[in-house]
Amino acid sequence: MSKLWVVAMREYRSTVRTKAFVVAIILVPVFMFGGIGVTALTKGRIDNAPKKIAVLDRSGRAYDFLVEAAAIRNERIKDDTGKLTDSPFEFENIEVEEARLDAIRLELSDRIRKNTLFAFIEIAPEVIDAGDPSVAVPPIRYYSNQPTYDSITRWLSSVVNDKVRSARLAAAGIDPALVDRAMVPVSVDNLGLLERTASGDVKQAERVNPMLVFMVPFGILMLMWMALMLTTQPILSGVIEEKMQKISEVLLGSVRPFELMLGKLVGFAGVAITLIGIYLIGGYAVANYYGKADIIPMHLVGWFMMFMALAIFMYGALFLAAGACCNELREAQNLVMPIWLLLLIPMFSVGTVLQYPSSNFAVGLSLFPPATPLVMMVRMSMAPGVPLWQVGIGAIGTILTTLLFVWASGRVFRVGLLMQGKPPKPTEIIKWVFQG
Amino acid sequence: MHAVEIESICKSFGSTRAVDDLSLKVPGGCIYGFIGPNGSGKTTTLRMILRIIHPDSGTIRVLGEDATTGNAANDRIGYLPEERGLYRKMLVGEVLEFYAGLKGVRHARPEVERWLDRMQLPGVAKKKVEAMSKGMAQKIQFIATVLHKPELVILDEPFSGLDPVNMEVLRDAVLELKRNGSTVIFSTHDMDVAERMCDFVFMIFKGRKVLDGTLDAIKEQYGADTLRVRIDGNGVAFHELPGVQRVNDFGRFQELRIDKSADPQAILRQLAARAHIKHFEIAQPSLHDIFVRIAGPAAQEQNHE
Repeated sequence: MSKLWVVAMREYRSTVRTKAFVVAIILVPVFMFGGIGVTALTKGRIDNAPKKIAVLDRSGRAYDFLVEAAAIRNERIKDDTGKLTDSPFEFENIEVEEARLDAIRLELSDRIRKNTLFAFIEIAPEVIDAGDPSVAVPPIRYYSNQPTYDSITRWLSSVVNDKVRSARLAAAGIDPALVDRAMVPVSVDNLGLLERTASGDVKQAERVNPMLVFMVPFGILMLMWMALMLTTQPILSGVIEEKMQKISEVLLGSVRPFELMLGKLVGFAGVAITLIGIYLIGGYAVANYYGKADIIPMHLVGWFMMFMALAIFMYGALFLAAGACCNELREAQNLVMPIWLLLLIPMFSVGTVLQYPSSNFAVGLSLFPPATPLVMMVRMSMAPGVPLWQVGIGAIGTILTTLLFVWASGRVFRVGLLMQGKPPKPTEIIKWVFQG
Repeated sequence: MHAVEIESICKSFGSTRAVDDLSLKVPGGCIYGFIGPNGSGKTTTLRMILRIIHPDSGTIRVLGEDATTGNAANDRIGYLPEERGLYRKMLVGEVLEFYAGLKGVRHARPEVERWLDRMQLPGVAKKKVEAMSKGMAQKIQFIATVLHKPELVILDEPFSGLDPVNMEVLRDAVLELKRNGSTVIFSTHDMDVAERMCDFVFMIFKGRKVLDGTLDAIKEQYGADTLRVRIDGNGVAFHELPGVQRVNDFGRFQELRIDKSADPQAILRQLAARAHIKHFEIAQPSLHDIFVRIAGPAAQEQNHE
């Protein structure tokens, strides 16, 4: 027993101290919240130089209202202090000569190439007065050498469409303001359920926070997934290193194989729990700072730790067995493929589970032991919750499966560690399980 | 008392028989050398003594305990595997404490420091294993093997790849183990080492025991059938001398193996007539020669495969 702890402590210490672990602890929040920070940092650093745009207005009626609309926009993009948050548009009217259109287009293109112009647009005569549905409306043509800059095209589309719609409504004798009023959308309030309080009053339902409803189960899923990712890799490479460096021979001269394997699993379960503990405390501190500590479902922490440890034992045992069969990481990649597929099932189906947490599919999947830890936790963190009997069956099923996996892997582990040469075929591995 | 008693064990891997009806008794407090060509079953036998694998039949007793089955890891044994055996990313001091811990030794730090000094490795405790040279790593591995003061020490090729200085340090440490009452079993390819250090020599070949006993007893079996000769110049066709079976040419001197019936004096006279003799010795065959006599043809066959 004490040797098991010696092994577990070594695995724990050497994993927690690796750069990969420290980097992961720091990087994940950076990825999760860094987006906001980067946006904040780059704000005001974007290109807000005026964009000069030539207008080839063949309808003769578009230029004026474009200038008018641009003036409104150029005011709107200023922040409180009068600083620009985007590029203002400046238009230049180009005289239209229908006979030499191509020559004009070419001249404008050359000006864009020389950077004295940003882009030019061409508006066909039919665009503005398209009232007749049988006439196809030609598009507005936008020419530039920076096709990814889409501020102008988006703005154009909305401004011109508004203008054209008003023109059409006016032509049909309808007041555009009336249409605007008629088109005001109705919103839907997403609410929980009403309750009767102890004093007999009716407690009104609370409005559902759509962010929170998905954030908590998603956060739980990501935490568990990340802990699995961060531990399975060192489990696999650790066994292979021990085998390659002949460390396993020394170990087996001192520890029983099963003790060795359990020690490793205990060590890695400790790593996962440490990782989750750090995030939990960090997450709680952040949420508390914003006065939202109640969004963290503390009543689930115990279940979470249990399912997490079971997942590490269940999958860790499989990875240990696979690692013991191989002499290098490259060989192991093939063997661990089926294990990854098993792990990915809950990840792929989590969208459906999030949407229909009480569907037969979600319930069934949460009772399928390899998927139970992840899926059950997701379901438990969502309304309407999970009946206790389901959690119980899920837990028992997972524990039994974990025991089976650990037992079978233990037998493969023992044979595999001392084996040299090319990795065994799956049929041989199964034979080892039954013959020991 | 015998440290190891092996009674007609057999072990097969698939269709190959690695160890075939092997019996062996290792007396306590001696140094026992295991020799034999690669793939002849040395490591398999050592692993069975360690209970890492089990024999198909036969019995093994180690330090008075039945070690035929079960995988009770034995804290009274120390094992040094052939090459490597250390975590590359760990600090030397930590690896050693870890191995001591696996053998049930707590707070091994002072003992670790003492051994590092003893093995002329001062100040490496805080360095990473991967920064160690081969000789240093081998000495560290040796410390890991003996930190828990085992009664039986099993060393697989402890001296391979060591320079003479490190070799001497390690050899003294092994001899000290013996002086302190431990039994040492080591395998080696270096016949000179075996000849100089071992009280008993055991040779396994194709899974079977072919030699077992004290060096003198083994050499006695072969008699004084070897002539060691050094002459001035060269160009003597030793093969043509009467009664010479085989010539081992070492460059500066030659070893001639002669028929049991051949007369060394007659050969000396013949030789004197042909060359200027600087050295002539009637000797027992070296362990090296005995090894080659047994394993030579097969070893050559293997090389041709």
